[in-house]
Amino acid sequence: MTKLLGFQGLLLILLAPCMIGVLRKLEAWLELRQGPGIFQPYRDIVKLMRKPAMRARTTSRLFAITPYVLFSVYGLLCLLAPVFHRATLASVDLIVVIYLLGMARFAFSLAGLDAGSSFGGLGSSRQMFVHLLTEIGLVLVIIALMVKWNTVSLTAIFDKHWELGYVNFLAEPELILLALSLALLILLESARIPIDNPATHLELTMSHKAIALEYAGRDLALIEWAEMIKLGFLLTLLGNLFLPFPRWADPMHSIGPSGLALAFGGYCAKLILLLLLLAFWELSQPKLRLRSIIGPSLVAIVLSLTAIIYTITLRK
Amino acid sequence: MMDPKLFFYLILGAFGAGFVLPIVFRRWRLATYASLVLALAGSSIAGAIWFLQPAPDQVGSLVIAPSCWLEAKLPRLQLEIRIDALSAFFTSLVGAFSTLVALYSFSALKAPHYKEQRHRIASAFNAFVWSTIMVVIVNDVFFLIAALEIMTLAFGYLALHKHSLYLKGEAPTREKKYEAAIAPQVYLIVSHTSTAFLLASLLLLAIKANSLSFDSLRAASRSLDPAIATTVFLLALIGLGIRAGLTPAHFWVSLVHPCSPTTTHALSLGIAIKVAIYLMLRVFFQFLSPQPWWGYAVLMIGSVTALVNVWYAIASHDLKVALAYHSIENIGIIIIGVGVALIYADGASSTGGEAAGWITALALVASLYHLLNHAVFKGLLYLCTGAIENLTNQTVDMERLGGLIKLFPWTSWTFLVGAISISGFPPFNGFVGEWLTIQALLNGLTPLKANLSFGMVIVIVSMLMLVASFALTAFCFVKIAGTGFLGAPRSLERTRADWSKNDVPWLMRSVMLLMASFCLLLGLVPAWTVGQLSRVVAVIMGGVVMLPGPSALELELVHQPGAPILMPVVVPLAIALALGIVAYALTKILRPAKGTAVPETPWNGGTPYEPVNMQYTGAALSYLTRSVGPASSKPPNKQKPDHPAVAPGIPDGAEPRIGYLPSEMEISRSETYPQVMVEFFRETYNKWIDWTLRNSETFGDFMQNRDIRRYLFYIFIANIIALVLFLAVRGS
Repeated sequence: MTKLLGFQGLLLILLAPCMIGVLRKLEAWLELRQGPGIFQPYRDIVKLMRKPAMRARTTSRLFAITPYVLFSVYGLLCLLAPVFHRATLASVDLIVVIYLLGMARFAFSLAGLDAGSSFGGLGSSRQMFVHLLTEIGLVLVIIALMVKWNTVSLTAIFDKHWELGYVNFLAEPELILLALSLALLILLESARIPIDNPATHLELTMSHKAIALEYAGRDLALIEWAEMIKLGFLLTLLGNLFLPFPRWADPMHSIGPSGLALAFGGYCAKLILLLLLLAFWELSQPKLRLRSIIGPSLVAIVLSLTAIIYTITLRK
Repeated sequence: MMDPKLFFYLILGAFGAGFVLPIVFRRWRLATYASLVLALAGSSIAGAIWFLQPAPDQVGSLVIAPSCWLEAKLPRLQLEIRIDALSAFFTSLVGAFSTLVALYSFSALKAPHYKEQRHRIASAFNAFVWSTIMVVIVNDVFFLIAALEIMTLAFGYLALHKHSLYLKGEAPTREKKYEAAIAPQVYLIVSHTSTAFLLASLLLLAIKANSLSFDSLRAASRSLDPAIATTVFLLALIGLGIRAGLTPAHFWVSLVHPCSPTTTHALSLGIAIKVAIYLMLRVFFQFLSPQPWWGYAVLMIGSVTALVNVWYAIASHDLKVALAYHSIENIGIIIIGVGVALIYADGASSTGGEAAGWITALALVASLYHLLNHAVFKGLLYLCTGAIENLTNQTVDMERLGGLIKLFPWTSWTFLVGAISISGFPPFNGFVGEWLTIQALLNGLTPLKANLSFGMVIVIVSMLMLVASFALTAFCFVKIAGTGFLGAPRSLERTRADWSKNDVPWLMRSVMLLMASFCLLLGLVPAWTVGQLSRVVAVIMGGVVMLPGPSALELELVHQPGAPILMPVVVPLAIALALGIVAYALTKILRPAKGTAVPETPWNGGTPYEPVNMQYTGAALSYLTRSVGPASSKPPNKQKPDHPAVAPGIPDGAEPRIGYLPSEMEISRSETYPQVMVEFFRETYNKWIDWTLRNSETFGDFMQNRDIRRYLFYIFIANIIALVLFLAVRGS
């Protein structure tokens, strides 16, 4: 059973489009629109997958490989992280997670330059700029966790936070600061509103979509899906590491089919809560000028630094 | 186990003959080939040393003492060779690497621009490799300095390459011509300054130990006065720091190394610059007992070096210059590992307690692993650059290349492997080195936290700088690979007329492929490599290290029960591959058999596509990232004395004043909107040079008025100072 649960990440990969569907639905409701159904992303993906990939003459094989690289790297992340149970296929630390995120970004930025168009370069430039800002922020979160728990192993930190339980968790202010920092970094990392508006398609304002602009057909389907998986993974990471509730969805002690069903239900509920928060955020916040996103990333850095200082000075 | 005496004579014979042959028979092409064959033979013997060394504590030494009447009259001067695991590691690295470079040179040196200089390059290459090997195996201060001098001369000679090339033909730009002219001069000055500091520090030790042999220096290390130890450390750090190109002395590397032939450039920046790190490990850990604050100092220098150099690498659009800056960045990363090891090396409970031992070991393993990695991927990148130089008639300006991946697929794909490796992404080797370095820093935090040590701040700050430099490296290689290799050609068809039509010959290809596969291999078997490296670490730390053997294919450094550091490699790779295959299968299943895609030009808002001027340039690409830092770019200042453009009052075509370092790095070559980044450190040196030039006249007149009595007086004073120093050091 535990062996099988190692593959729980596959569920996240499969449900990621549905999650985006829910997000869009929530945003539509908040705007008093009807919105498309929550399964619309699946239809989009299947439709795109049935179309041949149109690649520009100037592209090389690298351009064709990149969608697969993106898909497998983000899928790998899902399989390495605990989703609703602590069992994973391999135990990794958070540094590997950062490097895998960076790797996907690197491959995608190279693909942006491979077509030789102006827009692709624009996107690559922005992607790597954001990469610089988020990587520093994420590493500070890791340092803070190291200072707090003396380990950076993903599963170890996961266990420690769930052992705390949410009542004790709220009594640890540094963890709340870290949660806020990570949430902000997730917005930056997944190209959501302060950086990029996923709802628009104007070439000059985009970062991520400017590279995807050159992709078509099944390549585009994979890229879109990979992006959905990425957001799903990041939200799962945030939810599992920094929102250790509800108790009945405890991924450590859920045994048997009923326990697992409860854990899965709790996980879904938590994800929907996070999506709702994201929808509120996206509808209430403006997109920032590209160079001013140094601001939010500095906020994330300051939050993590405060958490580190708090941990050191108020040791118990 | 190879007899050290035999080894010494073998490499002396091979490289010596390889050095002499092309000079004597310079008209014969065969002599050049014979010289390369000899280099190949010598290097492969040296490369095998690691595997001939059965155990880490076996030491081979050889003493060649002069057996003539001089021995009785002069102080004992004997050439002693000692090959312990540390020496064997470096010897093998140099040997294996120069074997590949020699193989590559057979084919690469056929290019027309090497024609006049082939025999000189081959000859100097032999001398260079031999002296590098000698530096890491001698066991004596005198011969160490002698070997360093030979290395300096050999490389100085190689650095003349571009200058003699430009004297014969046309230089691409006046800037390049100027740089090539001053490069050998700058190198000799820098190298001798470094040797002077190193000599001072080693002589201080030698006075104390009353011997020039490393064995007595090691024996005396424990009884050394802390003040003297600190002086020795600082002198050695300055000397070796200059040689390694640590900030603020990094200015010379990107100036001198790109002027040497690209074949040996790979060797000089891939390996030879790491001789300084070898000496640091020897001096800091074996001749001295490290103090924690040394570690903090080295850590800060290392991280500043990494960040500063990657920053300048971003600005450059010359492939060779950008790679030279990256080499120094990686030296900085290696030095960070050394710094962490120094913090904990004293093993005192004040810093680490029980954990100190394994943190030192971890940091040293990280450092050595990254050193090995850097040699492999940087060597690969340089060899690819050499290939491109041969293929494109010496065009290494990335803004003029573009689209190479379709013209020269072998070279470009191997370059891409190197680029992914250096950017530190799994499953290639750069990731392992960076991961280990980060782990060393993170684990180094724990004991500091327990003691509420101020060092924590330094470790955290250094780690942030390190991570920023990793991110910037990734960006820089997106820029290099993206503008130089991907996309469409960035120069007009007629300017590309002299480019080669085919990729490089098979010999060069196979060398590059071999190095690319090493990049992958070292990333896939970290456990085996760490096991090998721990032999070296045991020698550095002077004892058996508690580094448990690797289990399965996971690198596991168990330090405290229940919290192993894991680096899974194979399982995630298999998962990722499986996912990729699933995705591919999915697109195959869902896609209807009918329907073909017609390749078109990329989307440019509907306007006709012009590859030469529509592609995103490197300057535009880096603009956002550069804008984070200070003084990202400005228009060039043509009035400055170091600017090769004509300043008012200087006749047209005049050369800039020799002595100044070119301090403005060209970001974009646009005629309408030229942009440069000011290299702060070079500008500072220029101010210093300016001051010296202004004041040296009066000072020089006073000091050197050609009066013999004055000079005799100087000698007298110098002797007195030497005597006082000697007594002060011996007496303490």
